[in-house]
Amino acid sequence: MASRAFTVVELLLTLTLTAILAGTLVSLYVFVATRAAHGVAVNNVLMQVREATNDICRTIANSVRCELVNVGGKTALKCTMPEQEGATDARGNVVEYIPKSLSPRAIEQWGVGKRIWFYQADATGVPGTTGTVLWKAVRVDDAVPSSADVDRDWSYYYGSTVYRWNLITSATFTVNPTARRTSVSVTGSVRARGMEERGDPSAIDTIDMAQTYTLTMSRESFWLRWRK
Amino acid sequence: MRQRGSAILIVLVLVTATTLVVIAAAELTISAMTGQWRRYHEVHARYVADAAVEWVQSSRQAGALALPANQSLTIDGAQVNVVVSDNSVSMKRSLRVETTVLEGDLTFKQSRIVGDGIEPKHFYYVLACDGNFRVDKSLTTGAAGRLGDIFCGGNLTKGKFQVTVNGDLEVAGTLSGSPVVTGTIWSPCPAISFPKVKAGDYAVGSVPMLDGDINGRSFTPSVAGYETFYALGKVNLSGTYEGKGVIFVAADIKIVGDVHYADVNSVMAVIALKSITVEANVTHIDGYYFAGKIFTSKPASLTVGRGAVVAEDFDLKGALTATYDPWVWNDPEEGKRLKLPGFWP
Repeated sequence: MASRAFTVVELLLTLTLTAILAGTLVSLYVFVATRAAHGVAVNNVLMQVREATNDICRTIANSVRCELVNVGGKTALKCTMPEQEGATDARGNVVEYIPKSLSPRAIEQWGVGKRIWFYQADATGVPGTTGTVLWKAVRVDDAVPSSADVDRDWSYYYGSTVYRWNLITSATFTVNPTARRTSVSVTGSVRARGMEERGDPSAIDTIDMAQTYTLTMSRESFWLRWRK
Repeated sequence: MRQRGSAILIVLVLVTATTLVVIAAAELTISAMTGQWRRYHEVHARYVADAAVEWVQSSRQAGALALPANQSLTIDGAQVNVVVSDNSVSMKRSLRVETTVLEGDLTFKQSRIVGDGIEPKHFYYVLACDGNFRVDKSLTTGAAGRLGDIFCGGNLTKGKFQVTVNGDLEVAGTLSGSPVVTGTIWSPCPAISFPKVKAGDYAVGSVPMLDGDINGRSFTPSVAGYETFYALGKVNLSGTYEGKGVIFVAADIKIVGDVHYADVNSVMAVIALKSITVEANVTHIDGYYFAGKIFTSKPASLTVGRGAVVAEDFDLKGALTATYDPWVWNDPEEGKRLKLPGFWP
């Protein structure tokens, strides 16, 4: 059988089908990559919100009492810790406290130890300044912390200037002294776009698939010895 | 030969892409769920460990748990292993409780120092009363956050003067005002029944004493119940007291001069069936004082140097500073030897 060349119609048809197929594959790839990137971004904000909430709640759970302090119109959470510190974790945070004495009913008395503060401020870490940087500060008295009291390793990765909570936009607290418990609400926000994996809270992006995800985690934690 | 289409290729690409999306979504979901699952079990394990500690304390209070102990419990579906040991070398009347909670596939360990469950008594506080307590003068108990616990069986009302409690403030009724309390304010707290004192109990085996003035005394050493002096009528008390002993008066006691211990080993119980009145010239008293009726303090400023005061009611006409002597708290048998109401008979 004699072979013959493609006709123009066959060629055009093949090119059209190939273009459609290629276009579909590219769109599919972009869609998959974008969804994956969005998923990673959402996971990142979830991890930051969860880790910050866990750290704050762990402090509250070990505290003798908590109170809200107004510093320059901004609200900070101050947790008074027991006097005698016990075991620490790998980051040097105290995870166990030892009672100072026992009450007449043999209930643990904890004394008054360090004051641990959580608040949002600017990059200096001074409470009362305007900013969204989430800070932890430690003092041995009731005075308002200064920048020297800030635990920078909690807010920044060790020895670096890379901010650890870059996706957290707000942290709010409520205290119920009667029930001896404190509520923590941490909100994180991420604008996921294209195939950018990490996400960026303030990115300006023109890609149609760019989307902002906001996540709020609220938790209530009882103080130490919440039951008598 | 006919040209075949490439449908299989398209299907393979679509399946691959779909699989990638599903895997990514599944991994994220699993990661989030695992984190929450761990968090749930961590919190649950903490409360299970708390429950185990409460079980230990209530078992000790009921006399149902000997030390050292190693117990396996099931609490709210979680397996808990509890190891209890005596910690009184480091802290009197305390226990070390080590809990290991098995939650799912995870193990959570916790170690706590807690009090050994004990029955509360008035003489475990520096000041304890059965009725209402209106504090209209300056009051400071204890120092540096300890040895200043107060119990009030009725309502406690703070007037305009400073009230500082270095320790816990327990009020069975209502608390009015805002005293400075370094420990915990517990109001309303469970009541403690006020001990009933019978003169006849103290008369047995005691040394009869004439009514009138007692200006210092040296108690004769005794291993069993400490030497007890007994008076039927009113007594005026003052002076320095040496050794360990008891003064019981089946009437009122007036403290007319400073009362001091001779040394750090001296301990004394002063028990009045009715009232104790501290006269205005007195500045310092040592000892455990019990007044079946009212304890009145007239001095502008009185210091209870080392001891405790228990009364049905307080009437403070001047400032009071009091520091608890933990002698009987550390060893309740001493409370029996001192014939303190609530410990003895």
